Amino acid sequence: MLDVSPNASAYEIGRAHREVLALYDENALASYSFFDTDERVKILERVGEAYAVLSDRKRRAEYDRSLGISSDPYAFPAAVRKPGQAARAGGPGSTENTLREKVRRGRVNGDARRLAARLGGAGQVTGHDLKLLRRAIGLSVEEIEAGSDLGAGLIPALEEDHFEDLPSWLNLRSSLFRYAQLLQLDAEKIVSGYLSWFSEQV
Amino acid sequence: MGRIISVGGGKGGIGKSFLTTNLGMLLAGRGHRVVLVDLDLGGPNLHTFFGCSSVESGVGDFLSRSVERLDQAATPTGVANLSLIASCDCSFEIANLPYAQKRKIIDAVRRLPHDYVLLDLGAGTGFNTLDFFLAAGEGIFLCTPEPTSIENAFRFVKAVTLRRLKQLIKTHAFTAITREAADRVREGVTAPADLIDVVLRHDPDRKPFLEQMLSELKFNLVLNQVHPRVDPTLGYRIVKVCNRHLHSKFSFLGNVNYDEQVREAILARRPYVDRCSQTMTAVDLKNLAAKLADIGNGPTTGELHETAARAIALRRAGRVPQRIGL
Repeated sequence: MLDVSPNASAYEIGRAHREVLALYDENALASYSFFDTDERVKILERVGEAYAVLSDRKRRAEYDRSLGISSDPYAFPAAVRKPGQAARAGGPGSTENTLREKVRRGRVNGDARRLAARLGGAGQVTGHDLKLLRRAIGLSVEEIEAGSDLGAGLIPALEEDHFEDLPSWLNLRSSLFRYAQLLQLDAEKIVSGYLSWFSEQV
Repeated sequence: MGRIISVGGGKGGIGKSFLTTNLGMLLAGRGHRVVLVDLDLGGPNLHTFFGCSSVESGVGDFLSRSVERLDQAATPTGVANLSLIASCDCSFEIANLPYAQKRKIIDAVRRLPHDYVLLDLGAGTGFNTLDFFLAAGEGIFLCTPEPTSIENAFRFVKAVTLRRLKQLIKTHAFTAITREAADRVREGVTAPADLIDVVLRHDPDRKPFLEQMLSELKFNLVLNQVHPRVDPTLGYRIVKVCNRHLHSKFSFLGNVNYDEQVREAILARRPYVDRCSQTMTAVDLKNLAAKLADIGNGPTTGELHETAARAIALRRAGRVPQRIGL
């Protein structure tokens, strides 16, 4: 129902769920006249049930077992897992440590210091602010995604204000917190600053 | 035998004859031998797109046996490689075609010696229209980005699917109950899903056969008269809904940009791409023709997905492309 692969991450499932809900919305031009009300209600019930199973760790594991899928559903998707796992397992010289080292070096330059100080003192933090800081440090999105456990697509969604691609509120807080820590910022201030701005935008 | 492609869509005035004419012109321009067959028997006007007020021969001559083969009823269009089998020579009662004559036309269309046979169908979901659509190996279903047109396009694809299901059930080994349901003797069968439910209950082992046969039906969606403000991903969403809930193969062929000059071309009774060859609309039509020709040589699904992803990315970045870059 959600059109996701067996090893989809929680983030991917959340996004697929939102896309399917939009596809079957009663006002969606692309589908509203395809179904009558009863059909739409039944489909949305099935979508809701699929999401309830896939977003619940225990129920998803049971469902996977019933399909004979043995892979760990809570592993990160392949593109993120490979470098990230290597980093955690690899110790010194791993991708994760290389990334932290690069942040440490990048934070020393003047632009990055000034921006970080401004973000720490500002009431609100925008996605654009985070983008400027990342660039000042000299990091690419790909480097961060490869060297951290932040889901693929999170940083572009933050930076370009693609709110529909952001994870749920709770996951967003947690991801932002980890991202701010990675950038060696005051994580609490960044999270509250961004969420304050975000809540005004949506 | 060449490729037979029908052009239908349920609603009238959405550009079926316009698309048939221009795709025919462009495919002929690529060196293929193309014939356009006007099967909008109740309201033929494909000849008008080429500036002909009347034609010497057409489907009527073939039905009255004035000519032996359908290709002998073809009229040159003045465009190299492109001919037209008009139906404006038919009786005013021709829309109510007897079954034997419909069968005769379908058999003759399948024997046409051209590389591409484009069938221009009428509006609505009458049996003749549905059977002509099914006579082709593949079909274009056309709509404009308005609720009324999309609603009729859905009705059209469902009607085609139901018609095909009934044909299959009548001509293959199914239980009497399923056959009765297909014959409309039993009530409650109004949509393809109802008939599939009957098959699941009474002929469950025949389900794979039906799915296989339905999957051989190929529908290509074209969105016509697309204004810059229309969501460029709309076509992909329509196709996604169809693929998720019907058993046939639906692909999105592309958008055709809205252009006032289309009306001017029709008023001048000249094919649009003949008058306007460099407009966005003409480029869209050229892309459609190229894609249609390529589909015959291999799948382009990956390319389609890539284009969809790009369109979605552009939209999310707030840069709605004026037309989808197909």
